[in-house]
Amino acid sequence: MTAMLLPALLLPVWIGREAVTPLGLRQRDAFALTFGTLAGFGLVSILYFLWRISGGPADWTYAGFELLAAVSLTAMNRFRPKAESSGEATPATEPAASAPLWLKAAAVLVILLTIWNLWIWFAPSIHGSLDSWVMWNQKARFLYLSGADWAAKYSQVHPMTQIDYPLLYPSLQARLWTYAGETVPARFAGILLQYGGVLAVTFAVLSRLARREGLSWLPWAGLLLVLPPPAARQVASQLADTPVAIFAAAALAVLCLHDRLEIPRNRALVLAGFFAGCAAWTKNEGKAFLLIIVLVAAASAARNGGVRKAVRPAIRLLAGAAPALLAIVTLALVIPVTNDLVQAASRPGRLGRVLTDAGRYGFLVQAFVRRIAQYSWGVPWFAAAAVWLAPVRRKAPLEGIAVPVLMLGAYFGAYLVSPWDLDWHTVTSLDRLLLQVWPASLVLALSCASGAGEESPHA
Amino acid sequence: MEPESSSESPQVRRGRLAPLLLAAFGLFTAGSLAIETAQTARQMPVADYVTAFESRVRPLRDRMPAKGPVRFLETPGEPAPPGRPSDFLHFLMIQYSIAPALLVVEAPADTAVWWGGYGSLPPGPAVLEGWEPQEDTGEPGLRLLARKRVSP
Repeated sequence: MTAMLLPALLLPVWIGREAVTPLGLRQRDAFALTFGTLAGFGLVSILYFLWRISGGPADWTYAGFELLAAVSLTAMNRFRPKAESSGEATPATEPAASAPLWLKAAAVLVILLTIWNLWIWFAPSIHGSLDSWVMWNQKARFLYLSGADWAAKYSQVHPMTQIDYPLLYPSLQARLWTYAGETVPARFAGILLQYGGVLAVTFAVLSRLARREGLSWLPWAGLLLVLPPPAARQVASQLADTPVAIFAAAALAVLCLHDRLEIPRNRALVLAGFFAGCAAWTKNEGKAFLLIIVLVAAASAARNGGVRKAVRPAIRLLAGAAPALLAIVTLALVIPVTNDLVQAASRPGRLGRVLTDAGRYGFLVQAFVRRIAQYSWGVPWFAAAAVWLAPVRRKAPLEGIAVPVLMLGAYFGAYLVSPWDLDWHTVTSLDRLLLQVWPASLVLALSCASGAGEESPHA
Repeated sequence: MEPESSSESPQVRRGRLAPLLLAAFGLFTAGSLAIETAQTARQMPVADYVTAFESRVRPLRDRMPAKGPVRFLETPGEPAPPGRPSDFLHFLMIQYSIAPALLVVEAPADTAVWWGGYGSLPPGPAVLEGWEPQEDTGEPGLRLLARKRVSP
């Protein structure tokens, strides 16, 4: 069974590698490998869903389909005119000064202790929390075990199980079972993949910055702060918020730091759009993220060059998100269900009533401020202190501030119209939502820290 | 020759504090949570609740017809909103366990699963109206039922 899972893990690496090569990640380093692998998992999730929705069987013929996709992408890259690659930035290759050994040892120890904690939390609930098996694992079972009538059947499942949610996470799980030939209880591997994904994206971005700008402790700081054990508890719950966080961090890093990450701007926009699309294909909050990132990029371009300039970045981002949008639209067509929050908001008179209820605003402001300040034992304060203590501080990218702030605004709006008891709703979900934006916010905050000798002093 | 540290700028010296602070935070949070987890781990249940329930439902699932939805029947309990059973948690657990078969609350079906709670008595006549109990799988509180055939 393990041998069968090997191609399930290697094919996304291959597909992703070939998919991101034309998008400015042609180097063979850890950064390109991490972002390529992430893109690969996003792509195979979309491929698997489209395969199943078009009546493809959940057996080894699907592996042949993926292999074909990988070979086709490789062939396209081989025969692509070389001229396209001219003008791309060459990455800095000089090795940077190494971080202190004790810092690396502390980060490794924290990671090992977190994995141990994850295992202990996982053992008594191997199917995840209630929301996980009801909303995500059950979708994966229907997707894998049903025949061609999957959509017709699944659209009748009890609506309280949120059947409108997008399917990146269940598709990946069902795909794994397709390779294994059974619904293997390999869920701890899934938890490790999620945890590893957050660490890898954070480390990859910050180590490329550190290599260029000489602040050797930066990537290790990212590892220590991105998912401290209290926040990692969400990973053990097997919910889809961690994948959203991974894709959001990748999208925002590529969008805001492309020049420092040595990715050409136009291609960075497509790549950022692809990752934002994957976030949208993971959860409804990801759809808000995609919309916000497109609007912010367009507004930023308009600010610098007029309204006409706003269209191009928006089109590039949407072009990158096209594969995920195809999956989202297909799902909406075959399972046309309205979300419970939208249903609640569209009840006659309700929207006006909740929007003018000052008590709801006051309650939510308090809840947001308290939860953000106390998030994972106050980790935002330590991130801020790390940036403040850095030898040189850079100006934060405006887009990088706007997107997380607008995401918090979107969460606030969703709570405002929520049909559920606000206290219960915020207590049970606000930390999960903060997790979605935390890695992206952390990476962008730490990117403001630079090494000594940096040419642009802090603003 | 002066010691190296004396030639460093205040910014660089200040910068050295950052990794120290972060390492202390990381080790403190991970360490204290590991201690807390170790203490609570002893009280955690050994068997996974959902897996245990799934193994109880499996004999019923193996006897279900391949096609058609399955009706959820229960001993009447607390009043619930329309379309929602009283014991919603166990409705969800049975649905999860029998997927991809569809578990329905009100829609017509030829097969039903009766859930009466742990260790409860067999289904009473009110529940059985129109249904015929199938082979007893020995799981208290769980029973597969088939729609009674009405002679023409």
